[in-house]
Amino acid sequence: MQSNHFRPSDQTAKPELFMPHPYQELSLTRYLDATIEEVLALGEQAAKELNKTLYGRADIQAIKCKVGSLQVVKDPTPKNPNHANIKGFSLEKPEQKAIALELAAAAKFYPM
Amino acid sequence: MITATRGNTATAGYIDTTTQNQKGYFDQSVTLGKQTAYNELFAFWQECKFPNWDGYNAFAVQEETVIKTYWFIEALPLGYPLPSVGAEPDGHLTLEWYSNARWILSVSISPEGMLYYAALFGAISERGSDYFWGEIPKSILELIKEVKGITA
Repeated sequence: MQSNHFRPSDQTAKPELFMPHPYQELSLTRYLDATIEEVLALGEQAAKELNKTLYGRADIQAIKCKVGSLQVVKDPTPKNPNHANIKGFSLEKPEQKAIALELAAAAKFYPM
Repeated sequence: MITATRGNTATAGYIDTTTQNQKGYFDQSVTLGKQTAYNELFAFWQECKFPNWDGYNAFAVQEETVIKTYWFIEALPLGYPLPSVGAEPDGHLTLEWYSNARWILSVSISPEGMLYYAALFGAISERGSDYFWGEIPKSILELIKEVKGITA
């Protein structure tokens, strides 16, 4: 997560984190076979590759991602066998924003 | 913050207290407190004015978007609370009025002046789009009032 993705005032995730553009899916990592430390290590590695600061992580239950037509689909990669995507976003921006509000409300932010 | 005192009498104390209260009110209001939002807007733009600012191929926030957002804030009527500023990966800026995660309004502003908004009021979700012609659409003003509990 980046500084634009959470509210320092109450340590909550912002909906901007859950906007899918320029893709029609959101990338995430499942805890299925990973510890918190392993998930954070992936985040730190990604932040390092992007030359960004990692501010924390946002956790959301998979069942909470089933908003409207959304579904969580596993998509393992060589670097991250627990990688998954949230798919099924509407192409309409107001719909995307409404879904992003729901996902942000269901997420829990954990600062570094 | 006002720190000057005008004397040691009860009257002076009353005037000081009243002045402090009024200063606090106006800092929160639109008329005198907008500079805070403008500062936040332009400072935030520095973080997202180039492509890929998020590391995931985000579009740059264009100057036109910043200008439209400035005028949107400028158009907020007296007594309306100021939003916080954010950005989305499609290059739109966002203005957020927030009470809690389920009582919130987010308005996206495009470089063309399109407004895309969504709000949550508990279990009720609202969304829509409109165009910014220099005045904030009434539908959005009503949502701001709802989020912030403004009854007048």
